Amino acid sequence: MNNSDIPLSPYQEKLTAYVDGLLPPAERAAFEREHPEAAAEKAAISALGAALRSHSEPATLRHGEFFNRRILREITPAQPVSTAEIPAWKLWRLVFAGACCALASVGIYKAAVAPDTLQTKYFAEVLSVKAGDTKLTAQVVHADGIAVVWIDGFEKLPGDYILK
Amino acid sequence: MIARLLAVLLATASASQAGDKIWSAVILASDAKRGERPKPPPPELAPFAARLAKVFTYEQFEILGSATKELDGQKERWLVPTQNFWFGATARRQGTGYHLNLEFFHDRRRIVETEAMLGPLSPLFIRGPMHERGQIIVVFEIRP
Repeated sequence: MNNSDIPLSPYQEKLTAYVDGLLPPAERAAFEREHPEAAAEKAAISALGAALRSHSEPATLRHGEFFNRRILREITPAQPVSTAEIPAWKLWRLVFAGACCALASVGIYKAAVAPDTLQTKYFAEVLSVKAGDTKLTAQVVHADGIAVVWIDGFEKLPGDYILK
Repeated sequence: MIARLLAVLLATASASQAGDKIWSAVILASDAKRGERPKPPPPELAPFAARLAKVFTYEQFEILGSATKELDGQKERWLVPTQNFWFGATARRQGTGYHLNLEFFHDRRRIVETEAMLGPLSPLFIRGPMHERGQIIVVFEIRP
């Protein structure tokens, strides 16, 4: 228990307010009339306070730089996180991972599925040809990787022959 | 009993694969008009357009008409891509391809009869008559 825990008497409360200059003028005049010694006491306390303020050596703070840094850290607003950079980097990683997955899928498809379903190699072999009449001749031509049954002996179709 | 079973198995092996089709088309090959660029080939001919241009020495190819029939064992199929050109085809599956017997008619005239082995998506071309507008070509293709 320290002194601040002891309740003040009404006189002490009023004296404290008087010394601190907190009493209204009428109340202050009444208090001075009732307690003439209070004015001298107030003057003595004021003189003591002034003497203490003017003669006491200011306390020196050791490790001031450390405290400055701590205080600055507390009062400086937190640096905003660079939201523009991190998502871009993550996006790049996602795109790269997606491209790898797509390549792997295409590779697996070509290796396992495509040979069975897609036959792209050209294969056409003419075993025999026989022209429909004696005016026509037919022969097989393999040129530029395609097979053509080449028929000669046609009469040219006129322009009014409708092709449809 | 075993002989009957073998016969059924052989018939099944030589029959066409379900869903396979024969596609035929009548093509007109021609040169682009002066000052105009050649028309792009139709998608059906695009993979072979450069080779056709080299063999037939024409710049552009258009499909005048086409017909598709599902293959069904030994049955003869009649394909009529245009009203003037038509074909009779019989296809029998052999390995990965088809053994085809084809007859090509122009109006009532039989032009040619041919026997060929065709792989899927490997067209066989037949050079038909010339027309004022260009060269008639017919094509057959097995499509899975």
